Amino acid sequence: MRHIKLHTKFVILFTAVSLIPLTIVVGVSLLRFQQTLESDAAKLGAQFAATASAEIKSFMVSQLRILDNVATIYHPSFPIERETADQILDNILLESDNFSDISVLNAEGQEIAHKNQLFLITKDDYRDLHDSEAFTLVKEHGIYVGPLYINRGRPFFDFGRQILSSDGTFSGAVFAQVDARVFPAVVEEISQLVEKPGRVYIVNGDGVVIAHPDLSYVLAERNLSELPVVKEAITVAQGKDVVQAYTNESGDKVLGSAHPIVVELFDLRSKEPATLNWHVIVEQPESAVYADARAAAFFLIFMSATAVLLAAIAAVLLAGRVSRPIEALHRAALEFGRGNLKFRAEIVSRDEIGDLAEGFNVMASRVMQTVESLKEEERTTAAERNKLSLILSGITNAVIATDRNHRIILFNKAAEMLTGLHTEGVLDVSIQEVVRLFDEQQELTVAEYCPDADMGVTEGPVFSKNGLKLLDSNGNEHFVNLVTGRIKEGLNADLGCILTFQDVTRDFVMERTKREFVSIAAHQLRTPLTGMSWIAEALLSEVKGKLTDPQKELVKKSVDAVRRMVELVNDLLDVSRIEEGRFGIKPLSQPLYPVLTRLLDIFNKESKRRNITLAIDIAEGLPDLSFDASKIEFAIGNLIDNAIKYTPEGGTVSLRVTQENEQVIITVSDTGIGIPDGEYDRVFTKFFRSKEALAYFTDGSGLGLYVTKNIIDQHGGRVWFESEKGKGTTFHIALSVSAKPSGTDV
Amino acid sequence: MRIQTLYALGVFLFVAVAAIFFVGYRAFVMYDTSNQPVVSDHLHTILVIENPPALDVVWQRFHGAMVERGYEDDKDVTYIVKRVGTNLSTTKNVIRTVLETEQVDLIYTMGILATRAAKEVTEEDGTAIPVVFAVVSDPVGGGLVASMHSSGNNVTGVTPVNDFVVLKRFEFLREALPDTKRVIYIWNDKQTSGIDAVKQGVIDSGLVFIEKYVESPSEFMAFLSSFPFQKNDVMIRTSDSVGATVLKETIYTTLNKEIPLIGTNQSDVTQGALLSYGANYGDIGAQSSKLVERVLQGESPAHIPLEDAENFELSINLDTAKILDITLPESILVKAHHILSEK
Repeated sequence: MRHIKLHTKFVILFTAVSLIPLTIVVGVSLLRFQQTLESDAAKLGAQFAATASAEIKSFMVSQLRILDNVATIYHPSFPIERETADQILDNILLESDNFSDISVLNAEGQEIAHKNQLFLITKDDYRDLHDSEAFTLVKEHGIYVGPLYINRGRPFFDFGRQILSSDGTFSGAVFAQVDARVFPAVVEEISQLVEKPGRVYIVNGDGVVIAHPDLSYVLAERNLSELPVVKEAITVAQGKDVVQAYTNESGDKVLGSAHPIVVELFDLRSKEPATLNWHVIVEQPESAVYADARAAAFFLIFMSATAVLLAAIAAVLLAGRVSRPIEALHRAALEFGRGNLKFRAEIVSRDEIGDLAEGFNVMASRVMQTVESLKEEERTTAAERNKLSLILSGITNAVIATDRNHRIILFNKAAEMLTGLHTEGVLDVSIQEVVRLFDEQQELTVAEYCPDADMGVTEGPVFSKNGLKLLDSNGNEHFVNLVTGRIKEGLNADLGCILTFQDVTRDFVMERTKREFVSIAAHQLRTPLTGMSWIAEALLSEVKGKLTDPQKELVKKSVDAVRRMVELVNDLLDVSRIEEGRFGIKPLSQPLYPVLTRLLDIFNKESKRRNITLAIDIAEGLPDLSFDASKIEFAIGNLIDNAIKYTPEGGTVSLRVTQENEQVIITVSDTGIGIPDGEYDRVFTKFFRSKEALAYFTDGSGLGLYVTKNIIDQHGGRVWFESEKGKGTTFHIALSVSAKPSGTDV
Repeated sequence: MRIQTLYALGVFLFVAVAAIFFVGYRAFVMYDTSNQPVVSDHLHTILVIENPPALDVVWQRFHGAMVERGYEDDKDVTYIVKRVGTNLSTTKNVIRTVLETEQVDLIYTMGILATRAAKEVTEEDGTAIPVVFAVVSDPVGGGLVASMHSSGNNVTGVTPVNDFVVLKRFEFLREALPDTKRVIYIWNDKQTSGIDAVKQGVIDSGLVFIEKYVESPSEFMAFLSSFPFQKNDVMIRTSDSVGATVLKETIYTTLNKEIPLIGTNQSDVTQGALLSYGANYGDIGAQSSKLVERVLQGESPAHIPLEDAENFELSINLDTAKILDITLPESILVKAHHILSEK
């Protein structure tokens, strides 16, 4: 439905409120008035008809009286000569305005006198009418009124009267041809009284017009029985009045009234009066009947229209007063809806609507404040988000976040670089389709590196592994360190895992290259060194000739140098094995003493040579341990060697072996140069040598402690130290009695 | 106020005002129609052909009746009156001349000659100007109209039925003058004179019937002047055009020759005829005004039935009887409607 304004509705409502009762009153009044007019018209019609009827009756009666007179003079016992009677008859005919023919019949129906206004009638012309209908009827009823007929443009009817002798016996009849122009005269006269195009006419019992202001109706013997009023009058009414409104054969709208002509022509001796079955029809034009009603209607409608007009004007003003506050409110709501938050409803009235407007304004203010603060917040959030996004993209590590269904929801710049994929292409894609991770040759499933939150961990790192292989979209391998984290709050925000990949491919490759180089170099060096050692040893043994002492001394030095180089190469090979994971240990449950004995043999000589006291304290009853004898020998030997190397002459190096609970503790302490504070962390790393050590002892690869620690670690043991710069260092090795070494069978 | 409101209000008021004006206009028109004057506001022109002078009374009474009906001279109706002779072609020329110069609504004629002339002119010229006649006997037999009910052409009128009443006149003649031996009848028109009927009637009653056909008024007068009248001769005047034209001369001559003249209507008796019986011509004039009015109101003459005269009167001039030395029986005097006696 189309939107109709409130104001319009009010106008229509108010106008309708005034219009409806007015219309009803006007309608009812007019209807009543019309009914009154109708009944008045019907009364008028009845009066006209009665008048016509009376005139016709009086005409008929007067003609009857004339016939009575004629009957009297032709009475058989009337004392008058027949010739005189004929003369009188002639006279009567001439004097009468209405008789055009008179004939007198005897009891046998034979004409005995006949006079005509126009024609000469002789005795030869006399007729025998004894078997005529008129004669039969007049004999029976005393009076005869024949049907109307037209002769040479003029209406006539035959009128008969019986002649009775003094004893009451039928002795003849008088017939007259009566000029019926009195009928049209009467109807014309009364028609003059009826408003044009109304008319008055007379119909006979068949509905045929016998008198009409327009003679042609009569001449043509028009049958008007189809007109409702005529039809009802001749068929139904039975002598009663009829009133009908209809459109007549001329197309005029009329109110027709029908009234029977009651002409009772009493014959003193007959019992029943002769009546005419004729009807006077009065047709009054509707326009005339309702002229007053129309005038009244005109006036009433004019007044009503004025009233409605005034009502409409009042309605417009009133509707404006009622609807203006609502419209103001509506306008405010519209403006507000359009986003003009500063717009306030105009408070037009001090009533409920005014309160509503005020309430609206308060609400508008609140909403505006809220919206403003929301906007501010939005701005902040946007800035934060922007910053965050910048940070994320700035992070060199690839960061991928997923929802709880492992679908990617965040993919930073570094992740794009790593995977070779664009953020747009991966959002909402399962992470498994984007990232393929391999641990060694084994592919990791998402459940492994991003276990479901339901599985337990909901906060903090859930997976961490270095050196994983990642295949990017181009099939290239990347080495990455992966840390998968989860935050508790994230679960509520459908945040699954946050994966942080550190691309270590370059380091990894470099490290591997370095290792390979060391390994190859060591292998390649060992053979010539062995050769050199062999040659030097041969020289020294003087198999090829005597050496002078200085030569011997030089060769001896070269033998030492070569031996140190072989040790170094062996160390390097160890390191490279360790790093390649090929540094296998072959654990065997055995006592520790043989190892210790061998070491003491070696280092006793050495310490004496360096003038260092080697103190030994080995607990008795040590349990057997599961270890690789050569490796453990290397580890402990390395510690003792270092202690001797870095202890000045006169110092003490002590070896102590104890059992504490389930552990065997091997402690090597010295009174050497010690390790500076700041370098503790790097003690067990490759190629580490403290500044003091470098200054004190230029030889040394810096690989010994690295290898030692790896050996002890592989045995499931522990190595640590305490040191004080300039005072000495103490290293501890703890080996578990029950522990199973993690070594491999390589 | 919003445009929409104005629009709705405008439409509403427009419809309301339109409805009011419509109803008001209808009411007014209806009311007004009922009060319309009977006489049209149109000025009608009627060409009156007057012929012969015996019919002056017709024109006078017709004119009077028209005034009574509300047709005032020069306001509602203008009459162009032309008196013509007994010559058909001359009469036609007169009519034609008028029709050529004037806008004529209706031709009103008196007598058979003028009526025939008017009918022929309108027929020949193909105009449908209605012709209403007065005093033409037997218009059907004369070929003017198809029937009394409906002319079938542009002619209608009132007939005095002289052709019928001529025998009735003879009856009154017999009663007034029982000694009559011969009846003299000079005629021109077979229909209007009713020659056949009167001849039969006279012969049947055992009297001598002397007839003479004449072509013109002069021939009529020549015969009349030279005819050797005898005692107990009676002349019945014919109602055809020739007879009517020489009416005065006929009355004068018969009076001189002391021959009783039976006229057709009261006017004859007034001028000196002994006795007359027939329609009152003046009444016919008045009666015809009704037909003229219907034609002027737009009805076609073809649908207006022709009418017979309504009033027939017996008139007697006692002065003429005295001149002729005739004593009329009391019985006829009793019957007479008009008895003239100046002395």
